[in-house]
This record gives sequence, C-alpha cells and structure tokens, in this order.
Amino acid sequence: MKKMWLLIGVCWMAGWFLQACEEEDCALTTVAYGSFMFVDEAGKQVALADTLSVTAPLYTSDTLYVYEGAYDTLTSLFPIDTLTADKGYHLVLQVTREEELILNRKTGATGLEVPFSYTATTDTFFLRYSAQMRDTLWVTHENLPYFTSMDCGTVMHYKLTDVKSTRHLIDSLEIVNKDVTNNLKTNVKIYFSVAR
Amino acid sequence: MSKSTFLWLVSCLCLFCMPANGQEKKFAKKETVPTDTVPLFQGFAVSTDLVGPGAYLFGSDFMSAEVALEVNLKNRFFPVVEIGYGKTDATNEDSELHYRTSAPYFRVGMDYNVQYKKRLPGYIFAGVRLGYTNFTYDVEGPSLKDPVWGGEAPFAFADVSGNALWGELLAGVKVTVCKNLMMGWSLRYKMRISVSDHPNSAPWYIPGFGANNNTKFGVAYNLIYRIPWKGR
Repeated sequence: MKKMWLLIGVCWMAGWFLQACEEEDCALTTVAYGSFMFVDEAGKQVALADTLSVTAPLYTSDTLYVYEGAYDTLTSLFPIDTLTADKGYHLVLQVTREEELILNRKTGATGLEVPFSYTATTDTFFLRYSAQMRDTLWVTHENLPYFTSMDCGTVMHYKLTDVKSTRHLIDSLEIVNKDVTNNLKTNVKIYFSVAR
Repeated sequence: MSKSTFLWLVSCLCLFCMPANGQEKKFAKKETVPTDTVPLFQGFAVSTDLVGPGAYLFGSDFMSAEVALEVNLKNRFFPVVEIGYGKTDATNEDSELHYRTSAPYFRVGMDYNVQYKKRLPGYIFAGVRLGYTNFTYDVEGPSLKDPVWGGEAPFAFADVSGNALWGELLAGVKVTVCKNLMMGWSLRYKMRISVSDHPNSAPWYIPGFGANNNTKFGVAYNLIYRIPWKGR
C-alpha cells in the first residue's frame, strides 16, 4: 500500500502543478490588420524605391463623390454627370471628409499593414509614391466579430472578398489568404508593373 | 472558493476515508491470484463524479454531473461508459462577455487494473477514454468600437452549434470503503482531437472536456457502487 500512497501524492502534486500551467495566453493585439506584400512580376518580394505614404478616407455623414479614371481621380461633393464610363471614369461613392494617415513617407517599403472598418464592407486606401503619382486601393470584405475567450475578449476578423486598384504603378493584385485575423499572415500580393 | 480549493478538500476526504478501511491489514501480505482461475465476468459497477458538482457549488463557472457504468472482466479489464451533462452560464466582469451553454456528453473507454495479480482492497488503474459532445451556445457582449474608422459593431450570437471529440489518458486509484462501496480518484490528461469552429467564435467551454484548450488536466473523485453479483 505504500506505493499506492506514494502514487496518490505524486499524482496530486502533478495535478496542482499542471492545472496552474493552464493559464490562457491572449494575443498581443486586438486589431486584425490586412497584410499586403509588394512583389515584382515574378512574384518576388520587392522594396519600393520611392517613399510611400498611405492614407484612408474616414467615413462621416457627408457624401463625397469619387471618380476614378485611368490616370487620375476626381472628387466632388456633388455628382458630375459628364464623367461617364465611356470617358474612362467610374464612380466610387464614398462617404468621407478627412483622411487617416496610416503610413507616412516610408522608404524601402516591402509591404503594408492596414486596418479595416468594423462596419463598412469596402475600404479605400490611397498609396502616394510621390507628389504626382498615386494608386487607389479598394478592399471589399466581410466583417466577422470574433469571440476569442472570456478572458481574451473579442476581436474583429475579416474575410476578403475582392481587391481592386488603379493601375499606375500597380499591375495586379492577388488574394493569397482571404482570412484576416491577428496572425499577421500575408493576405494580398500587390504586383508592381515595374520593379521599383 | 475555487475549483482547486474544492479538489483539495475532496482529497483530504479521500485520505481520511482510506485508512478507515479495515480490510487493509487483512490483505497486507499481497496475496497473488492465479489469473487463469478468475472468471471472465466479475460484475457491474456504477459510479458518479463529485468534483464537477462540488466545484460548481464552490464557485466554479463550470458544472458537470455524470454517471458511469463499468463492467469488471477478470478483475483486470474494466470497459466503461460515462454519460454526463455539462453547463456554464458565466459573465466576465472585466470584458462584460456572457457565455451560456448546456449539453450532454458521452465517453467510452476502458480501465486496466495494473495490480490484477494481487488481492487488495483497492487497485491502481490506468485507462483511456474517447469523449464526444454536441452542443449549442450563446455568447454576447459589448459592441466592438472601431478605433480607426469609427462606428460600432454589435456582438451577440445565439444558438451557435458546435461539437467536440477528445481523448483522455487517466490514472488513479480505487479503494473499497465498505462492502460494495468504493471511492477513488483519477488524474485525467485530456487531448482535444477536433472541435468545430464558427466564423464568429470558438467554443469557450466544451461539456465534458472543460475550457477549450488543446490539452488540459482534470481530476475526478468517484463514488463507486458495485452491483451485487452472485458469481463474484
């Protein structure tokens, strides 16, 4: 019976110790960022030679009309009937009055991490390479409020459904991982037409 | 009082009860039993776990109650079926999240008496279990406030369905305290095999398994009644 008592003691101490080890580790961030990687035509990651600034129009109650053309973007507080599709423009209805600065004049950028809206399903980002050159990026997503645990709380996840952009320096886009969580995996590859 | 405190109390109870067993001295010489003479069927036993309800009474967020039916084969193998009911209805005061679920769960498996050759008032055993549960849960909490773009997203999901499959390795002791009544406890190492996920949540509590971790440890403290059987 001594062995049995010894086993009881050992198991009990092990139980105490191991239960104490089950503390939950929460993620360091509660914001899930969309992760974009810059690649060349061959799919190899590249660094932009130009400085890169990224802004995003914030949503307010005021309507702003944005017309994207092949080479420029026009904005107006009123619809412009003369800008039609056969002239190379299409209307992107935005509700915006000011812009959020996400990245400020970064040199040698190899990628981008951007927050998405909790309520809107399409977010717009302006990528400015220089004073004259910029691309506009539209990301369409489902918003998925996610319960992690009672201790770690909730976080907003997303599922990417579409990405589009203008074609100034950007050649094309590819969704490589549609699930945007806080695991920081690359979600979208941005192919640049010329290695910058 | 926490679950751990309760476990400590039932441990003391176990330690208190075992020396009271008068049969211990009688078998002190560790008689060996010729195993080929032991009939295959040695009877049934039913048992219940006291840790689940006890921990809940002492303040745990989780409550589980279960009964088990085991068959004694040659006093060596003990196939067992465990049926239980687990529930939680918890609110986290910091995050203001509320989680609610209740569902039955099932386990099947077998214990193995590692001292089957010895005639003792109890035995040390090792065992395995396979557990399964199918459940729904509600989770709700404060709206998520967008720190960048502004606005709020409501957070409330009801009747989210889920299921889980897990395995358990266990070891423990059982000791006879009177004629057909035994007490025992076991340490259980639980390994999650699969759990259904939902786009908006992961189950926080799995009935029969506990908090939703890849692995976890559990303790069971059992009262066992051996159903009288002529052949034993």
